Amino acid sequence: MTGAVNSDAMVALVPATGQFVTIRIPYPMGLLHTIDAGAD
Amino acid sequence: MWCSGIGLKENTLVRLDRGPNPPETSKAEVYEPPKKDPPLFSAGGVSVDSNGVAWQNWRATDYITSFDRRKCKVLNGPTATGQHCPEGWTIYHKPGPTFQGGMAVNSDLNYLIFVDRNGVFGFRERCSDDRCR
Repeated sequence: MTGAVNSDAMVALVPATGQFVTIRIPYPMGLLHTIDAGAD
Repeated sequence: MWCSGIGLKENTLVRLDRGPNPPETSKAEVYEPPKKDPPLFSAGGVSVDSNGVAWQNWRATDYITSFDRRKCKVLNGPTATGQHCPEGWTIYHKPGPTFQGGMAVNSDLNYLIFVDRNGVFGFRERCSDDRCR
């Protein structure tokens, strides 16, 4: 997973399929431009 | 231990084996991704999954790569010059909108990368059915 700067979203790559999944934050455009995260 | 530099001119992935008495016993292996057009550069970091596969994001060129050292025919020696394990790399190109004006790069940027080792986001389950095999 990677935080996609300038997109209000995180992007996940599913290795089994090579598919990219966009996880977009439901906020007004422009409020969130840099996202990073981790999973414990 | 895996490490990756961050920077515009950086494209090396380093595996460091500390050995029993570091630093005297430490060994480093340096790997570079296969040459492509556009080239892979400006790594954003590295994250390792539970199989020991190293994942990297590439900020400037929208790639995500995996490197599986178990696939390498050569790990060290005189021919281990960086480009010696193309078979270990898998390269994924992230689709998305590009800048207006024809620049061939996405308008977003893969900042850092992390592996969801515990399946928190549910993508492991997502691919357990027939559609993903």
